Amino acid sequence: MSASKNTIIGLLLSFGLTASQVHASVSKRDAVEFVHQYQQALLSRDADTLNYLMAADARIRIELEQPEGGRQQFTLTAPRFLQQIRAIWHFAGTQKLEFSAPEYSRDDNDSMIVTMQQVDRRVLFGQQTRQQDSLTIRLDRQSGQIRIVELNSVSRLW
Amino acid sequence: MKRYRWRLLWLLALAPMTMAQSLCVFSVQGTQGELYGQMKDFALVAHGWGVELELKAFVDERIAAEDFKADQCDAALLTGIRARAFNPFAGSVDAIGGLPDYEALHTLITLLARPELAPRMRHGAYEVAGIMPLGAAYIFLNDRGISSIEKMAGKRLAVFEHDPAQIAMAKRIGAQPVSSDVSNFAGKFNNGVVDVIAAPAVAYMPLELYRGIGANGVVVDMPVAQLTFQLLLRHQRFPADFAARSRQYFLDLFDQAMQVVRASESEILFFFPPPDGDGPRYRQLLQDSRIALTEQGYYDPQMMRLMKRVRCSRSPNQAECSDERE
Repeated sequence: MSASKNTIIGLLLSFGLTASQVHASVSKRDAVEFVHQYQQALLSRDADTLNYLMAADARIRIELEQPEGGRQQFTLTAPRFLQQIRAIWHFAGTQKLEFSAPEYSRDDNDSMIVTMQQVDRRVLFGQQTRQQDSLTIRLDRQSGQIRIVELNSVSRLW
Repeated sequence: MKRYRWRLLWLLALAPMTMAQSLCVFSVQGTQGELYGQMKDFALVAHGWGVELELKAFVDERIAAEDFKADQCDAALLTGIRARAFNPFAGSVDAIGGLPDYEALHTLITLLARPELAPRMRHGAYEVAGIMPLGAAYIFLNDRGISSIEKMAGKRLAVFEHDPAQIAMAKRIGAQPVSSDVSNFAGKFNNGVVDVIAAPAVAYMPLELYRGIGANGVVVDMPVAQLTFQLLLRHQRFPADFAARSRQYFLDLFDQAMQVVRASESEILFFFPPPDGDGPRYRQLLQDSRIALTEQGYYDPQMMRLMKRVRCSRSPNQAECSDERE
């Protein structure tokens, strides 16, 4: 009786665990909707929505291609990353953003991974400039809400 | 008798004017801007303490300091770097790499407002009667290609001629020091006369430093020093308890001053931390420079020990906390 009770508890626990994992994961449909929301926030310069979509402790890693070749890596906090986006909005006279079709996959931890290209053409201080980012974004749920928890970018500015 | 009474009233009316103490305020924006407004508020508070302050604005800090030294002002609000000449202890708060963040600065200013440290705030005829954050000094570069300390070698770096610490720092990293002052360093950077400057974020918009950074530069998000404004008094001209009350008043202004600093920092474009892995090397460079400058007499050793205590109380695992270098 005791053994079967333990088995039942074990089964219930494992079922509960599986259910919570399924609940925590981000479906492709959710991810597509999330990425659309992210892109729209960038296009409409909506700082509040961007702030909402980004986890406060998100890890942002930028590999900046150097003019003389090679790459230099920077790790930014989410607040600094968002502040930079707002500063570009402030200083860029005209700005045109384009995105490639996002691709969706899962990593070993079952997190949703989104990869896409982002090209930002802008006029800064009278100079026509471009920034091309190859983005790899990891999405996860935090308190039930989908958030960007990691963003890696290989970036080129010219 | 009637004539005598009128004379007395006339003298009484004149009395507050003759008793007024002059406060020379260095403010890049003159009588405009937040800083001068804060000093006007301070003058109102000082009135309640029985001291009439007459404010005089100076856009050139050198002249404000010289007037104070020449006894043309009873008090002066100067940057910590300039105030070091009047009080080496408090003036060393702005030491290179002295404090890593604003929480540490707040801890230090709180300590300096305590009565136990009051004797250290007095140096000869002068007394520091308040310290206010001006914001961290950051490195501004006009070229992102200058991506490491080594690459600063040979670059033209604006240094304030009244701050030997900056000149020594430039030599240490192999940069070419270009003598400047508060009134012309921004113009030199924006016009490409110098490649590198160190400045607080509050200078970014008013001095249009974004023009010097342009589309290809960068601001390194790592404090080189914590800059301050310091209120200096000729203490014999003020009531005995004035400086202590004033230090507490300035301490209470900390959060208000930080709002201006943080708002300024939120405006900086291309504001990136040092490349991954370079942070410890930057910190080591700052520490080595600070220790060398203390040995050369630029910084006060007691203040350096106090700042180390503040750093180590917050991050006791840092390597410096187990050595005796400071």
